[in-house]
Amino acid sequence: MEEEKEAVMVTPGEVLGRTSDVKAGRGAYAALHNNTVYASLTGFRHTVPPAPDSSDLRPTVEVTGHKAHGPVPQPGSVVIARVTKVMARSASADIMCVGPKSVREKFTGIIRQQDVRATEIDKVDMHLSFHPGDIVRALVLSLGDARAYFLSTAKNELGVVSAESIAGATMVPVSWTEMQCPLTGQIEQRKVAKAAS
Amino acid sequence: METDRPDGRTPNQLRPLAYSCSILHRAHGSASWAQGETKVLAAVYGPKAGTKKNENPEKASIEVIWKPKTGQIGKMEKEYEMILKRTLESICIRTIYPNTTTSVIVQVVHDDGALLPCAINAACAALVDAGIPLKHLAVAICCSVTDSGCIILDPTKDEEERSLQVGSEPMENGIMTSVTQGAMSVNDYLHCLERGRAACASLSEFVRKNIGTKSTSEPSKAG
Repeated sequence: MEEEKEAVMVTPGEVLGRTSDVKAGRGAYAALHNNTVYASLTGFRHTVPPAPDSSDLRPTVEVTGHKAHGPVPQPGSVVIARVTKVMARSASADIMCVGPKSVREKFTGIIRQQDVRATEIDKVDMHLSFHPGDIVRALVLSLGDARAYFLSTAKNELGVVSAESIAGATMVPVSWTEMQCPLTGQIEQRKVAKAAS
Repeated sequence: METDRPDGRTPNQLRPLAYSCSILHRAHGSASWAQGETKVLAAVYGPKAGTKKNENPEKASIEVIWKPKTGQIGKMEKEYEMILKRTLESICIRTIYPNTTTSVIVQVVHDDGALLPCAINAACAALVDAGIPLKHLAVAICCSVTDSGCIILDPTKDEEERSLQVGSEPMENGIMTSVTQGAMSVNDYLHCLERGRAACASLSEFVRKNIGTKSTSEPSKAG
């Protein structure tokens, strides 16, 4: 099944098909009470054929070319955050990016002591893992509460990606737990993210 | 039954409609909606982090702030906020981003009757402009029963004041919200619904045509 040649303009509430014939993709939703797929955004209707190895042979219908709202952190998404406060059992951070997109609104995250690293979680010293101003790559664990999302850095590729030394220079990672100031040569403790090869 | 209206309209005739979107650059979505001399500006901010007050781990929250043209917010404005909040909550798909809040600010520019329907239309258009996922569009209309028992659509401020009964029905494949002021018979109410439904069909066509062309002719606001 080929993708539609001419995109059809749709607005929210317009019928895109039956759930027996198509799957709801981005910008569409399936109403269970009448088994119909409707548009939820304004844009152009596109039909994407199913993957060759997929067991579900229904094509996916989606609405593209619309104005999108700013990205929102969701459980499982990787975010870039700036550490704002470090306490004995947790650190607070302001989420700046969700995946490759920068957020429009301020979202706050909390990195708890048990979520800093995967091993020896009871021996983690928060003050030797993060400092205010550090830029960290973290995984969103859950929605947390109204105040913050729960973040985790318990993977090799997660942790501090950029940090400033006391001298004001951007430090370079020397090991998974240390970063060094290029000006003074001073080594500082951090939970360093493994650089992408 | 025909009636003479001060502006020369027939009982079923709506005032000229005007709509424009993306007029505020700092808002995530915005729209202005005018019906005759009644004009409302709506701005949408969000989805943003939920507040303790609106905390809901299963659904997103809609927050409506009504700004009157002059003076402080009163009882009437609080009621409008509540009606608007409930109406918008029923058209938004709130399960996508739980524990977030979307703020809708409604600024009254000028009130010459049928203010609440105008605000609903503006808010709905602003949500579309912000890219908030909606189940469907909502359109609103105002019906008024005159002293002589004639039903008129889209009344002006003078007509609203002269007729005691006013009904406002936003509807899309059925009624979502119905607000009545004053006393009216069941028959009058049903006649209002009939007239309103017919007017909403043409209003819905106008909304879809304009929202469609204006939303896609502008660059994406994706973050």
